[in-house]
Amino acid sequence: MPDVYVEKGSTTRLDNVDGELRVGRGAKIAAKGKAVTVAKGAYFEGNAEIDCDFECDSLTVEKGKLIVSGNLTVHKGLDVAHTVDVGGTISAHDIDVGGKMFARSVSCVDSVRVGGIVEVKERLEAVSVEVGGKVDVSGAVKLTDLSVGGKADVGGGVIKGHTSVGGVFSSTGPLEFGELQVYGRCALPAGSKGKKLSTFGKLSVEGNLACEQVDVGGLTTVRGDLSSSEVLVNGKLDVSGSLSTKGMLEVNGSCEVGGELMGADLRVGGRFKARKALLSNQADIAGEVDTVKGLKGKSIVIRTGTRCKGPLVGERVELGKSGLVLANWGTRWAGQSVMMRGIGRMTDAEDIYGADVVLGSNGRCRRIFAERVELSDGCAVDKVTYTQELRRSTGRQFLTHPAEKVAVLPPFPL
Amino acid sequence: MTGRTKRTKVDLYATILEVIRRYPEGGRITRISYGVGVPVDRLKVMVEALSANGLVRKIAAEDEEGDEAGVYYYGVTNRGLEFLEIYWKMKGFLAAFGD
Repeated sequence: MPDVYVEKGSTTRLDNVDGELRVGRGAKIAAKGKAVTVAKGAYFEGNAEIDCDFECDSLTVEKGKLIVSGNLTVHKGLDVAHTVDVGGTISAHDIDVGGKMFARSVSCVDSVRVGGIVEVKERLEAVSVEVGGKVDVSGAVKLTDLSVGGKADVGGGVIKGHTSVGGVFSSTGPLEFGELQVYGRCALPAGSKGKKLSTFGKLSVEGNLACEQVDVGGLTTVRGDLSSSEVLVNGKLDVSGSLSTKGMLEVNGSCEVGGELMGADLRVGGRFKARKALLSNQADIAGEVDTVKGLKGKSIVIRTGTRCKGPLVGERVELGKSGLVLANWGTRWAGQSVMMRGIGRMTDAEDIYGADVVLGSNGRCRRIFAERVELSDGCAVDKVTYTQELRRSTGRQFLTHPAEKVAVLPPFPL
Repeated sequence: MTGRTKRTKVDLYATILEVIRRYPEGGRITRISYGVGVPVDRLKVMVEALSANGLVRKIAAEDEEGDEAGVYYYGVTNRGLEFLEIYWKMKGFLAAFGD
């Protein structure tokens, strides 16, 4: 059958079309057999209905809505000016929909661009999906990139590349993502994992989350364990389980961990709370730290004006010694803010355990257990217990009990 | 898009820009209209306002002889992209405050 024209408003039964198919407005097409196959392009002048599977080289709907009850297969591009509603699966090289697209599932070799809304009842597979307004996929997705203007709901799956969501993003099934950027609200289920996550608003995770880099600008709640290489909190992070980082945890806002923190480095410019914190390298604290069981690190630096609850254990512990030199972050906003807060304030801590303990002026703690202790002017300590050396500056220090030299220190906690 | 709450003027402007940015070569007014869910006559007024403020670029299509064909395409300018970025960031902050 060469080129075929289906008259406006008519109902036609077709089989194979060797040439092009042109369909008038309001026409209905049914198959003589199982499906209609068009060798070249199919053009729909307006609203149309196809009551079977439909296959063609390219498909253009100039105006109106195209309804396909079966599967729709387009070898090249699918271009719908207004709306496409497919009961089965849409398979195409690339899809361009002016307004809305509804389908049971979508499989696209290249990109899907939709002006307004996409609703998929089952799976969505594509290289990139760009949606002006809203995307709703009940099943799993398999995508490289996803960009949504407003809202996206998916049933889990994999988004390997970049996901950018203007407003709201949620996944009901575990999601594996490359880089997820959410400007508004984000909800992920337990068992999700990714490479980079950044949110400016609210993020809630209903269980464990594994993500190489986490950057939280607003409120983040993880109702499980969080494991990451690097975590930056400029807002508020609540983890009900444990938090493990391979690299740095930087808290410029507030971070509460219900279980324990295990990591390499900790930098606090705001408020940090955990049951216990075990660090393989350095803790640099300039804010408030509250640990029930204690904080352990290779080196612990407590800046001037900081308040610490819970014991501190480290090879070298420095308290209130270096307030105005804020390591390598003094040039940043958070560092400068912390520096301003620290000026003229006492540095408070409870028991300190270490090989070397240095207490700066305005430093105050309960007990010190260390091999070597250095006390600066104006510091206050309940009791000092040491094994090797106690160095005191020429000025006044306030010791409630006299310092005691012992042969063996009591066992350190943690 | 089909939210239960009424969209504010700023929400509408942001949606228009989001739809237009899906068409790198420029989108026609009917397509934008379908995407945004606003009739063409009302949309034209809003797109003109966006264009007057430099958020949207209006491109005249040419016919085969190089004359204006009377059809216009719309694209988002850098200022429009900047607007969108700030809009979504503000939305995020407001969401964090429970709005």
